Amino acid sequence: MQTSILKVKGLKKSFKRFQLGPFNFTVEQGIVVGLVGANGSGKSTLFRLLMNIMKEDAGEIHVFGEKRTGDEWKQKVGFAGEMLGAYDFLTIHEIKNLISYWYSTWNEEQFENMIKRYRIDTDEKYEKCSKGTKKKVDFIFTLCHNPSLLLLDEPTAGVDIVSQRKMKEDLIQFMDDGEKSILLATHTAEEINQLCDEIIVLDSGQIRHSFNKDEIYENFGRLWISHVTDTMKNHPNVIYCEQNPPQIITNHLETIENILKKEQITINQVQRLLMEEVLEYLIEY
Amino acid sequence: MKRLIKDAIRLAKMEYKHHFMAVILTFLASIFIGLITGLLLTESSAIKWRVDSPFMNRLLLDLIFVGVAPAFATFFMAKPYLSFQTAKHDPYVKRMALLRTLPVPVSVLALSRTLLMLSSLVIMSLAFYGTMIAVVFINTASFSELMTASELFIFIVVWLGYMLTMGGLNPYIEYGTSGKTLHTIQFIFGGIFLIFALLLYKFRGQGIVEISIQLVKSIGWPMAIISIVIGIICCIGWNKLLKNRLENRDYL
Repeated sequence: MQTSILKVKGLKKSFKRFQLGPFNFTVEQGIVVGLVGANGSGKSTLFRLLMNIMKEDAGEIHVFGEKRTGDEWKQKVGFAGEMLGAYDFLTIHEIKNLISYWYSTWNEEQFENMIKRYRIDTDEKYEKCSKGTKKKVDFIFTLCHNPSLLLLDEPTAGVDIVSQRKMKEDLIQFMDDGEKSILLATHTAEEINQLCDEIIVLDSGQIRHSFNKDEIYENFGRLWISHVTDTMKNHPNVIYCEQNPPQIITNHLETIENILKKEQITINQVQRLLMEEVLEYLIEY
Repeated sequence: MKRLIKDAIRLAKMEYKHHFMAVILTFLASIFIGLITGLLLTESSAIKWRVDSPFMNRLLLDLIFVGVAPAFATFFMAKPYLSFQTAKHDPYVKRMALLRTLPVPVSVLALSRTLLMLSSLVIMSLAFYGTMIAVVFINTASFSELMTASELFIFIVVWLGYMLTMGGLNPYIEYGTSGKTLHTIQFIFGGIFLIFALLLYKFRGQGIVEISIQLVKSIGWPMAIISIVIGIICCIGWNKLLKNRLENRDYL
């Protein structure tokens, strides 16, 4: 039986010109959930609400099966959300001292290994580090206290290719025992392909879509057809259509193929969509 | 409880380490302000406010005790206080936001800021009053006309109570509001002070510090005790407010 590591119910937050939620979703044990959406869609705000550095207007957040109270639950959560800039006048070593003290399960050996693995100079002041190095430092801090849940806000943005690969390896290893979970905000289709099991698409503060990754591979497709009718244009499973050449993008291939047969529209070609194409259509349309 | 205090002290100590330059500069500034105050007090007693500009003397003394002294409860020479550009990026709030992502109880965070405030108040007050007393004792002859040594002590305690009352608000402003408010509130406070002081000069012909000296002379120790008790109560109150604010505010 799967257990919810993170459960969000009716979570809402209003700003002057933006409303986030209501959100309802769960992150099950052993699952990586990818959070995708355009810039400003509310991903970072959602992380801040989850970490309790923003107060929700309504709704509930349950972590590890219990309603979030106090601060002890943070012992088992690793959060990378570009928060370290507040102490950018310190060296990485000093920031480590500031952070590590509060985690009873801090693993110094793991920290030292990761520092070597990512080639970080701990005597360097955080403000002097490049964007990529800052991201790597942020990432390392999330993993060194043996968390059960990772909340990662674009952890690989601006990171060099080699380190990106290492980060993915570390995340795959983190998920190895099947007891941990990750909520990962990303703009990279490759990360979704390699890491995520489920995908949540955010748009203007709302969850527009929520899919299992296999569903995407199975159901999303592009069909080149003889002509596009109004019925097809307005069908809920057609997310995009073009007249020249006549083609449609669907999120449910089987249904659409059946309808096309009934309407006697010829299918010239069918193509499964790549993840980046799916994401583009989900975010854009 | 023991753990809470230990952790709060650790956090406060870290702030001293992280902001060493600001501490040193604030300490030096406190000495300088103490020097000016000592000179103003001895001059005032020697010539009974009849220098070229008694109004300026009075206003300066009032400004130092009413307006500047509560700032001893914080590192007022830190960048966010000196530069609006720095303050508007909310450095205090961002630091607290990071701490809030860690498994640190809010009570520890609030207590650490209160301890930081208290320790800063003690250190900077020592620098301020120490210098002021040194200047006063160098000019003993002129100062003794104004008050005795024991009255000076009561005077110091009375104003310490005030600093505690007002200075206790500093952590709340730093971590409970925004960088813009940090600067705005100084102007608002300055404006209120100026209006109040000018009205007092016009209608009573006395400054705030002068009135406090009169009260010290007429009431004595009870006034010092009342002032300190009010200071302590306010301090506890500010700490509770800060804790509540840290628990419920939006960071970033």
